[in-house]
Amino acid sequence: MNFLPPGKYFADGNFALTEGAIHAGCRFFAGYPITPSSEVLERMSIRLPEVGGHFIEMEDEIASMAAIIGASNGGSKSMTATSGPGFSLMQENIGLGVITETPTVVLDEMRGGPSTGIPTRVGQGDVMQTRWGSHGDLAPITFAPNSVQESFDLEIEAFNAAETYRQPVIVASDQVIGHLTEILEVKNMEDYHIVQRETRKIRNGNEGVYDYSRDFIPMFEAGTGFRGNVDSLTHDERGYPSNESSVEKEMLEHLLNKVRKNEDKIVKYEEFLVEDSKLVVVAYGITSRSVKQAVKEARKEGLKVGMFRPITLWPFPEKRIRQLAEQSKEFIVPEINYGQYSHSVREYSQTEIKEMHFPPGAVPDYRVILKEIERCLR
Amino acid sequence: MRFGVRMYGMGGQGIITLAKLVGEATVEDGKFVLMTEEYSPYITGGWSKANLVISEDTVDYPIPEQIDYLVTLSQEGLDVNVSDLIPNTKILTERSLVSVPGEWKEQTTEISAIQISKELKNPKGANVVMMGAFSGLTRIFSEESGRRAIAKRFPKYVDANIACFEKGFEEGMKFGR
Repeated sequence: MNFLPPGKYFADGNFALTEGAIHAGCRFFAGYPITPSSEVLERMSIRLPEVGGHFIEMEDEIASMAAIIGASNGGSKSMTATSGPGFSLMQENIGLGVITETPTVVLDEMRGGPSTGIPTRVGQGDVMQTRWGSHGDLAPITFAPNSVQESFDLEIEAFNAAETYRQPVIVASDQVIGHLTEILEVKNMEDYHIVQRETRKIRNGNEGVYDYSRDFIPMFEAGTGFRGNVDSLTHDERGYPSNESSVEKEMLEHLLNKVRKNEDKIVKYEEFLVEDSKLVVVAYGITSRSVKQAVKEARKEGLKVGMFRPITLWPFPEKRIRQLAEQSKEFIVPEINYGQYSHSVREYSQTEIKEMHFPPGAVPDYRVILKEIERCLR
Repeated sequence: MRFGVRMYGMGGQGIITLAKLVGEATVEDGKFVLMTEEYSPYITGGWSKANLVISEDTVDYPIPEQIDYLVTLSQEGLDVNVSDLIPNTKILTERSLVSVPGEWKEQTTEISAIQISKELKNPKGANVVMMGAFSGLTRIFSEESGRRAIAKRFPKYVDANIACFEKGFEEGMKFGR
């Protein structure tokens, strides 16, 4: 089988993430098995050879991240899949992907933490790690699916964003979504927009590896005649290392601005009944499904409540949150952690923020969220 | 109408596969199904559990609000789930592994799935016998959809598994209404 044929499938999130990646053109996977993302690795080991790609089971997650950066520089769209403990190990090399402007996709399927935590059960404790996990200044792009369908669709978007902005893009799913089985609808291949990689193979004159005056410049493809440096040190446009603050400024501002200037194009969110709402519940991933149910029940009682769901956790949907903060007397932010994304919501809103902390290990009970909505609006 | 189904057993018994088969067959019949799964962080022998929400319309919240049906292939599956059951919950158990206390006897159907699968020379098919029994007992999905789901999942072992399914169906039907 080449691409998953169009049709309806009763499939789980990990299946959808894998097939979405293959649709997007992923042809290299390196990883180390870890619950709850192991099924992605397992399926990749079968599927990539079928589509002419390569699969490597690595010795650990540090090496996995390094391998997919190498593969991407070699010309292959690449990805890895992991969970909290592995994601922690990948942080340094995620920064390597950022500074070398290497497109790749990292799937982090969140489970209970810290450390080994609750390996087989859900958590949402890596949310700020997808933002600030690697040292230095980064402008990360993180997608958070809340269904099997989105696991497929956002995996394609993640690859497109990685290719467009030339950096590692993170898909932050969770144990429940990864192991949730529901209907997945796959369209015809030509109905998907796939960003194909353009590369430079021959160096024209003094052409640099990078160009800090432009947001987007095609990668050069290793091994084809374009000789260039790819360095983890701060570097100039030729790729040569530098210790100068002025070079750091030029490089870093380019790395940050290529994402920051395009936030409007990258940011995605879903709104549910927010138009007339006096109270907005902000939720992402699996928690948003409990929230949607709670909002539906509250609406039956005549309570004016809505849901705002960031689909891209980062860049933060700042503009829309500011607008909603003006119309809403309060925000509720339920998460399967002890308060992470709520800090960012607070940063951009003058309204009251009510954090709801759910311990890892279970899907938040919608009735608990409903009670909190009732308490706020009555 | 919305149903909640819980399936429970030990790692290696095929509980997740059983739930996927039931889900697939129910989807074939045009219903909406959400299935979540969980397992213990141990090797074979730890617990394994699946929840299904079955409805005529789409559902957001993936956890069943009540357990209308409990299918268990282990004693633990009965013991730990008792507190989640409602007075009308129908229970389906593997006879050789689960001893059912008196107060639950009336609503329980005991199936010798392991023995049946051995008799049919498909000892790995005990979960498929249970699938058949579940179908016969509840009629949540049709026999035909059950066969199609099996053919999709086990293309190389269709006949052996259909045999298990049909025998299970027959057993379940004896107790169904």
